[in-house]
Amino acid sequence: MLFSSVVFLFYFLPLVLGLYYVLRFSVTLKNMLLLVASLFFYAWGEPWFVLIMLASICFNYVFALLVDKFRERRNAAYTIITMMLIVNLGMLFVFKYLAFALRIVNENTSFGLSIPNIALPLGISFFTFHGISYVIDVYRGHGAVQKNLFYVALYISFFPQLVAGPILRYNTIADQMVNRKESWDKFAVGCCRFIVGLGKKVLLSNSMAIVADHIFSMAGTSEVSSSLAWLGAIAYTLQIYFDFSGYSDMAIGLALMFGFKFEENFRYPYISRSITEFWRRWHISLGTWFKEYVYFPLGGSRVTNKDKMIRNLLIVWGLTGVWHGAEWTFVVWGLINFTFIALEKIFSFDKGTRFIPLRHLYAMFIVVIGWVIFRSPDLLQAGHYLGNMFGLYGNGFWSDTTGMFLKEYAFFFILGILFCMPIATRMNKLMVDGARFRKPLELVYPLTIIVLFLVCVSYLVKGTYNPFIYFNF
Amino acid sequence: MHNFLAKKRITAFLFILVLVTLSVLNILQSFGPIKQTLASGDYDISETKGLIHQLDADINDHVFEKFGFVEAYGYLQSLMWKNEENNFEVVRDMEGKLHYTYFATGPTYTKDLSDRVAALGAHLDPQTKLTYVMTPDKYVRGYTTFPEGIPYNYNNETADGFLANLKQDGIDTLDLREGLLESGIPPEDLFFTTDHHWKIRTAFWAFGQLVNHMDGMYTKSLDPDHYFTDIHNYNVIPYEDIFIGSQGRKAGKYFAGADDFDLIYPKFKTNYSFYFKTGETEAALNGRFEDALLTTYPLNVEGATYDLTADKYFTYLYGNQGMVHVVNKDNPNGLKVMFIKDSLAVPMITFLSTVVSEIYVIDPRYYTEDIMDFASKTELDHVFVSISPQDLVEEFFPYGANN
Repeated sequence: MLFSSVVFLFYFLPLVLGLYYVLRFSVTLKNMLLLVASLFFYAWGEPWFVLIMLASICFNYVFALLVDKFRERRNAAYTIITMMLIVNLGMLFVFKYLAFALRIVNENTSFGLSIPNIALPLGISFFTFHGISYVIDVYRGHGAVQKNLFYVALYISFFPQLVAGPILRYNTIADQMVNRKESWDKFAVGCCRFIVGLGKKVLLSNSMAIVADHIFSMAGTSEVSSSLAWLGAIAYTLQIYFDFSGYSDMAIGLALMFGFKFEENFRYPYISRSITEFWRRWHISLGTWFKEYVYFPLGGSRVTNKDKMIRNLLIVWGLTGVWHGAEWTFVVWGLINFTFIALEKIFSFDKGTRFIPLRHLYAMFIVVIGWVIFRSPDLLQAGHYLGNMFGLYGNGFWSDTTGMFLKEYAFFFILGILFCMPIATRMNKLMVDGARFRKPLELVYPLTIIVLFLVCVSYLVKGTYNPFIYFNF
Repeated sequence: MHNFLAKKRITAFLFILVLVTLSVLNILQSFGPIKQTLASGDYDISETKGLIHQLDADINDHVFEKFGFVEAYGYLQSLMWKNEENNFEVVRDMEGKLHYTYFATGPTYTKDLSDRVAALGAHLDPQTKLTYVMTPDKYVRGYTTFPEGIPYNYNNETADGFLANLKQDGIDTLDLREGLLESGIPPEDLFFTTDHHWKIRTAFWAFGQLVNHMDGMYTKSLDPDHYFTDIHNYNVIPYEDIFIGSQGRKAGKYFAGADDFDLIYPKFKTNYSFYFKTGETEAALNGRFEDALLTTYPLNVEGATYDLTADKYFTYLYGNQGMVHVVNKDNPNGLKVMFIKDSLAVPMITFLSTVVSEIYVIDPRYYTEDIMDFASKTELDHVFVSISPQDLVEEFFPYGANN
């Protein structure tokens, strides 16, 4: 089920919210309701894959009990952690990477292995990472082991974060599952956050998706003007940000409505001045996960020589790339990020304060080029697209199609670029600090948000283009 | 901090109010269809996904005030001066008319489709003539212009190639795109603004062109006195701002407005029998042209402008039916003809019924039996195939394939 759907907004959400607050007197009943609702939420789109998620919940529950019991026996605990990783990553490999791996084998050998057509369970990368986080956190003593399977199930399957994150580390939510407090203020902030996220997704991301999808389908295989290729790249840059950050906003907002507090997942990444800063602002929960469970255990940056630090970075960014999908484009995208982050670390680029506009330009240039490779179906088409961007085929600069897309989507491009910057934060600050503007802004705010919600509903009812990038991850 | 949260509390209160209200109204609206879906059959556990899809469709199709929201959406697109809506579902030309289009780099290959028409011709009784009637595309060459950069689908060029292939195969063709701008009908009135169909007046002009084309093919002229093809011998009842066609239904009336509709039927005495069958549904009627061949229900329906049953174009021959048989009882010795057609031909066929004896009409989308078999086993003087440029795809040619 999508948050941006009629069935979620007018059936699922009011029903679950209503029942939740009816059961407000009992934490157990509220959690049971959230678990049932989460399983239903998942099953609505993928009725059979819910069994895979339940299996993941069950074996991670058992692994956590075992690792807790044998924590003091180092070898036994390591064996359990190793088995847990084999099972979790093995399952992820079968569903997500097996076909890709077989394809590589076939391309490099004469085995001619048959490639199975395996459907990807929704959100498998997210719930697998949740499972791993749970067992490792229990092992590290960063959260109490759950004797009750229901709580493990709720942590892994809680519907706001189930299909697109944020990736919650167990230690950040363990206590909230039993000791959270709902309040009208939390609820109010959650509602506003949810509607803003809905607007980002339905209005900005989906509109940019139309532009990006058309241009990528043209520019990946044939010659188009370089302005059109750049426009498509920028449209995708905006699409992926508003898609993912919109979904994160909705998740954070929904969680608040149920009394949970999730960590921020995006902090205006496109205002970054380096790739290192970009990754401090983009998909923060994924970056934190890799840092906590891969980079630090490898030694992180506090290693004896820079070679090891580079090796650690390479491992993390190779894995980050592959996490996003089973295709060479994701590997190359991960390696590009690795290269620039490593160079920035070596030359301490991140600490520099001169040439700020140029630093912005550099960061956005690498980000946009990275997204082109990320978005392309294969490296060949990525190369062709980049060739179009830089006029390598003798393709002209301008075309009517560029003008048409700019004219038709001018409103969304302008809003998209504006909302990549911390305008809302400034407005909020203005409301808190500036007595002169406070009253009119406070009056306009509720009306604006409700109108935004109704506009989103009109787009959803109309059945407008509604793709979701992170369903593939 | 207190004031900072006050606006969020008000927003949350309003949000809950809107959410609960719309939720209740939506549940009431879709309760019937959902109940029907759940009660409609025995569900196999393996069909769970299918059931979910159906329930999802029920919910999305029965949103409270669905077309109010669609109109709001269309209004917003107009406010943004957009000429395309929803991923180029429809686009607006320089005159404000809506079009179906898509990104294309050239005409579509149609040789296999023209071969199927040729195969049909070879299968017919040698006495039966075959004519392909190419109805015009809404993109009228020499008149329609798209705003710069709006994609063009090359329908006309596809139709050109298709007709050239037919001519090579020796099949008689009538291209109604020719002479369209000289028809005397103002170019802006040739097609509806909100629908992909031609206006009824244009279909009447096409009927005249068809009669002219057939003259000389038979010993006796179909309309020697030009009586039946004279619009003055017909009642023309105008209905203003009454029609929102298939394209208008996608974006709402604030995006492209509403169309006028002319109901045209004979002033002279007529006597018909009419029969149609689509799937298991069949019906028969007898009487005058306007009683047997027209249904005025779409013109009288109130409060359901966007409902399919309110589609004014379906006034003629009850729209698209799998098989239709029309008998002109006042002309028992006339020609017996058959049409294999899409929706554009329907009003033209209706008018043609005034000058022939019998007409069989087959819609390849809804007729489930063998069309070639039907054509060869029925006593016919003339078979017409009339599929418009936008429908030159396999679905409309389910016969005569090589394999």
